[in-house]
Formats: sequence, structure tokens, C-alpha cells
Amino acid sequence: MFFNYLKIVWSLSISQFFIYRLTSVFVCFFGVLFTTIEVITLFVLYHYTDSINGWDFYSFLTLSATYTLISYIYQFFFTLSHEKLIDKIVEGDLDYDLVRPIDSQLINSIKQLDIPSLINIVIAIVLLCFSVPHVLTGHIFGIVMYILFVLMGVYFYYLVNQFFINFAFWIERPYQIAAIPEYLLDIASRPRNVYPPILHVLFVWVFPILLSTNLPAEILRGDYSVVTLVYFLLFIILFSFLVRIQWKQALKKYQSAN
Amino acid sequence: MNKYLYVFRNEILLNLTYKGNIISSFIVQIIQMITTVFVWRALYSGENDIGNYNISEMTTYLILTSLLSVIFSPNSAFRLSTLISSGKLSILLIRPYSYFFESFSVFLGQKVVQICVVFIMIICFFLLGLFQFSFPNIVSILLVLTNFILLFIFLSVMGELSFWLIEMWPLRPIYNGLLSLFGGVMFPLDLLPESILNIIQFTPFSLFGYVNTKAIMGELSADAMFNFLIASMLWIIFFQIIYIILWKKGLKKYEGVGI
Repeated sequence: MFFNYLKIVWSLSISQFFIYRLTSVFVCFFGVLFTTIEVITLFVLYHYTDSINGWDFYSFLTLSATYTLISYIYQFFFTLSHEKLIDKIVEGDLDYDLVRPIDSQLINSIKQLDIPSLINIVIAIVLLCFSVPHVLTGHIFGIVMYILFVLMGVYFYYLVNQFFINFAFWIERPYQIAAIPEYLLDIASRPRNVYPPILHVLFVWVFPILLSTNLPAEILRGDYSVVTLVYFLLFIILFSFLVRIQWKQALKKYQSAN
Repeated sequence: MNKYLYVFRNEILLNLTYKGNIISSFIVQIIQMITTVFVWRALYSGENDIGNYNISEMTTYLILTSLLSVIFSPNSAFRLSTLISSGKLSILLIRPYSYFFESFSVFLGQKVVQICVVFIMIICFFLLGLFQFSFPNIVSILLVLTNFILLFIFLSVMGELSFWLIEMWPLRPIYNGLLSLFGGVMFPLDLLPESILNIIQFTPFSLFGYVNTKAIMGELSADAMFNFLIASMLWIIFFQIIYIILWKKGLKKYEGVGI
């Protein structure tokens, strides 16, 4: 049933993409613009050094591309649905989703796909094709692990967003709170060892947003630690349960009144 | 004059009512600043000087450009868009004042609050030892003020595009992207090759970010300051002419119906 649902979501999203062509073109343009800015910044940084805390140009580029990839895969699948969820809660429009024969959290996470993000995913993949051959120290296993942990990163970023958006059940229109994950992921766009110890502990061991982007890049470089991999996986499992419990509690709080 | 003062005062009060918006915009900027500052500081672990900057000068530069980019944000460009799409511009047009000066009063009201927050944050960073402070001279202040007026006219022209465009929001990320790159928010522009710097440094975005920061840091020579002042004034005249032309053409197109 879920795959049939996804097929419908895909065809509706494609139709919307063609209706709002100009907006889609703009979104593609922003992706190219911001990627260009990032690459120019890296060129400037590496004009003065060969390595920043052990990260050479290609490693840093891999990290930046990984960050872009995770960010836009999330955006492709979830961002439009998450944006709408806050308003649906406030306006009492969630009722219909609660009686459908599909999980309510799932249906409110994937309701419309952001097709223009696909272009930005392609840009990130092109960057990776350019940088990864210079970084990869292992073999095909490294690439498989990389893909796996990119998907983990996307799932983690989804959970973080879902966690903050769920506050809309308790706080009226928490747009500023809902924007926090985006800013947190910004921090994760840089190598984790450039941050001072207190931020490192905070964003690696307390709330591992830095691991979501850094781990895949470290796997490709072959300098990852098994402890952080296991910790990140365990954290994701626990966080999934937490977000699920939060969703169920939130539905009890939901009053269906606008 | 009094009517503009009322508008100015009301805008300050309005901004103070929505303190959360101001605080959140600064928090966002600080988070982005953290990522940039720590990468640059890591770069200095193997170097003494990068370009003409030692580590504390670079930190001061990056903090200052980040804070200035909040003041030089494009938010006020979208006020006209809201007025046109709702048809409420008609109300302002029949009031006994000039829309241009009314919007300047609104702009000043918004910016005064932001400037106060920037001052407080500069003092905080200074007390934390992250910020080198030197009193800017009169010409530097004049240059920053001229760039500030340029910002208003530039954003006004940008806002006038809403007479023709239905969706104005894409202009915001474009503006922010160009400010990051040409305004030197990610790195000081004088780290670029001189041929590129010569082209970029006189653009409005460079004047908003890089030039203002260097002026406040007291790192511009008298000649450079004079050149930037002239450039800023020429841009003001240019955009003022564009503003008048677009305003006349836009009003002819404006139907006042609203959606």
C-alpha cells in the first residue's frame, strides 16, 4: 500500500513541479549559486594551506558535498510535508490524516516531494564524483558504507526536524523552533575537529548532528572510529523511539479545533 | 516632518514588540558565524598571517561582517510587495505624505533596533576577547552612512520589482547569496586575486559588507575611502534614477485590487 501511495505522491509532485515552473527554476538556481559559493570559499581557504586539521581540499569538498546531499535528500522527501504540518495542526486539518489506513506520522512526513531538490542532489553527486577518487582509501566496501551512512544522516535529520515540528502541538505556530534543525545542520557542514572541545562534545556525544555529515566523509577517508559509528546508530534507534512516543503524545494533545 | 517621526517611532515600537524575530535572526547569524570563524581559526594553526590578516584581525573581520549582514539584510525590500499584492498601497498613496520618505522612516525604525543589538553584541564579543575594537574616524562613519542610504535605495528598487513579479521570495536567497560572496561574508575579498578584487569591490554588495567592515576596522587608506565614498554616491544617484522611473511605470501598472 505504501508504494502505491508513493507513486501517487510522485505523480502529483511532478504535476505541481510543471505548474510552478518559474519557482522550480529559481530553486535550481539557488542550489547552483550556493554550491558555487561553497566551492569558491574552499578554493580561497586552500590557497593558504594544504590541510585544515587533517582535512585536505578533496576531503573538505567531500564533506561539503555530503552535507549538501543529506540536506537535499531530506528536502526532496520531507520538507514540503513538514512545512505544511504546522499549519495543519493549528487549523485543525489533521483529522482526515488520522482516519486514513496509513500511519499518520508517515503520511504527514511524505505528502509531497520537492522535485527541484533533485537537481541539487545531482549537483552534490557530481561534486562527489570529482572529489571521492582523491579521498577514497578503502575499496567498494567504503562506498557501500558511505551510502548507508548518508541515508542514516538523512534519517537522523528527518528525526530532528520531526522532533522540533512536533512542538506545534503544544506551541502555537513555532516557526522559529521549526527552523532550528536547519541551523544545526549548518554547523555540521564543517569538519568536527575544527570546533573547540565544548562544542565538539555537545554536537558529537550529546546531540550528534556533527556525526550525521562527518561520519560518511570519514568512512571514505578510512579514518573513522567504530565507537562513533556504533554510538550514532544507537542514538538514531533511541531517537526514533523518542520521536515516535512524542508523536503519540502529541496526537493525544491534538484537539481538532482551529 | 512630524508625520515621518511618528512612522519612525511606531516602527521602533513594532519591532520591539516582536523581539523574538530580532533575537532569532541574530542567533541564526551567530551560528553561521561560528562555522566560518572556527574553520578560519583552524587554518591559522599552521600559519601566522593569511593575506594581511593575523588571527585576531580575521576573527574581528568575520564577526563584524556577520553582524553587519543582519543590518544589511533585504527584509525591507518585501514590504512594498505585501502592500501591492494586498492592494493596501492605495491607502498609503492617498495619505498626505511621500511614500518614499514614509518607507525610509519605516526602514530607519527597523534598522535602529538592529543597530542597537549589533552594538550590544560587539561589546559582548569585545569583553570575551574575540573582537579588536578601534574607534572609526569621521570619514569611515560617513562612508558607512552613505552605504546605509545606498542600501535603502537599492532595496527600494528591488521592492519595486513587485509591480511586475508575483513571487518576490526568490530574491531573498539570491540577495543573501550575493552578499555572502561579493560582500565578503565568507572571507575577506582582498584574499582574492587583485584583478577580481578590482571588479568586485565597487559593487553594492561589497560596499554593504566588505567595505563597511574594513572602514569600521580602520583598515582603509584615505584614498581608498574616498574612492568608495564616490562609488557609493554614484550608485545612490544611479539607483535613485532607476527608482523614479520604475515608480512611475509601476504605478501605471498597479490596479489596487489586491489578492
